[in-house]
Amino acid sequence: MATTSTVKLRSGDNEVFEVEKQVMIQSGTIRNMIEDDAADGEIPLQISSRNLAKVVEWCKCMQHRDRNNNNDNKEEEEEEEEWEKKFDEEVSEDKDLHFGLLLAANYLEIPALLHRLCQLAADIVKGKTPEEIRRTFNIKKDFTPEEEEAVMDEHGWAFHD
Amino acid sequence: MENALQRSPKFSKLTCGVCSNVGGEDGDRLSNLPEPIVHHIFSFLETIDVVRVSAVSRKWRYLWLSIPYLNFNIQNIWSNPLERWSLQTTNEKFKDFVNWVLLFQNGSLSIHRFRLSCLNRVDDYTLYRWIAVVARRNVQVLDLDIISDEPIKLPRSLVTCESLVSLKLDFGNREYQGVLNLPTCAGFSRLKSLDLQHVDVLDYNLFREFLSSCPLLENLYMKECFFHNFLSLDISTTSLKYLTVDEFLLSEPKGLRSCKVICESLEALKLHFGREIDKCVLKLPPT
Repeated sequence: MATTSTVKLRSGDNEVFEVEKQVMIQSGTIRNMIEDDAADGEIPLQISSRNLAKVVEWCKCMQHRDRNNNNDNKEEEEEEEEWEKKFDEEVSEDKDLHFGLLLAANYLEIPALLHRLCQLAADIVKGKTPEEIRRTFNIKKDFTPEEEEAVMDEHGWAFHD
Repeated sequence: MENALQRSPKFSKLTCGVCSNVGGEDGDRLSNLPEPIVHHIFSFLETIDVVRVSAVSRKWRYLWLSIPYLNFNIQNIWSNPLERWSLQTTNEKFKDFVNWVLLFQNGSLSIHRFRLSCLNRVDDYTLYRWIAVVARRNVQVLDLDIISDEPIKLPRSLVTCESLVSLKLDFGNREYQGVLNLPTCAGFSRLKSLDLQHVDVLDYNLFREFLSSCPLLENLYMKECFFHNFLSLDISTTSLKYLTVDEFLLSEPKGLRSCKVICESLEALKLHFGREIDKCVLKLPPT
């Protein structure tokens, strides 16, 4: 096993983040590299420094929460909830960040983060009409008139409430 | 260092695309996400919403046919259905919708999670047909929230379903607990988690045998259940790690009389009885 207690992550735009291994083992990918002794140098990641910073911040918060799970510190608990709420809001309002983190969490194999981000994306989709979804996510309506008619024929009833 | 990293197969996987700015700055990034992530996102939505997404664009037209998460809730399909239709018509429309989705989806695709919240009427076998279909499609997580006019049995197709990892049954509310008829055959060979809520269990012998026949069961959670004339709630398994028994608060002495828990792997235990019981025997791993 490697001897140092930290791991160095290099972002796609060459910023280096030195993080405790204990924090980063939440990432299956990094954990495997640590176990394979492949994490002694810098680990180059094709993730922007902005997104990587957010991932690291999230991992730190979760590790802190898990470690304190057993002692009932109301103040810290509230702080963590506040942080998570802010994280949710920030991500939901910034699609660049949201999609960047989705891909990062997927490639770094951080299931809890991926789950949270997917839930936030689902919350944005929920209750929207097809037109609203297109507008929100910049999706082009690429149906031919025939296709559009076919969609409505197949399950137009689903849109009539 | 670089060389060691390049040799690592995980490293080469990392470099191959995470940075690709999917869809570009202003592009359609949702449509370009990898399919498992798309499925994960839509797993939080009701199936009716996934069907509605088919009108967004070509890419989304057939998402509902491939998604391995199905969520059907009779209360969430139409707004205020009972103002327009009778309960029976609403129920028929709901059945029609579920049948339609199951009919169109490719039967060889596995279902990861099937959630159903609906009514079950006397002499209507629809519920059991649906269970048989999802069991054959290797369902892993089954979540049934059913208000039934008659006792519900767990069909053999489900009991012998080897993919099932998690089963949740909720048959009522605080006022009403539906009866569960336990299977008489052994099965649930892969079941890890069993969650029973507002369920009326009748036969304490059968219940004991049923539990001991689930070899991998790790989590047993029973909330506001009614143990009808149970002489003894007897839970003896070697695999169980988490046990919660929260009996319905009883006004009459019809529930549990005694309780025996012999679980050598238990890590967490919560027992709450509806009234005072005569005897409670615990045999747990040494702390």
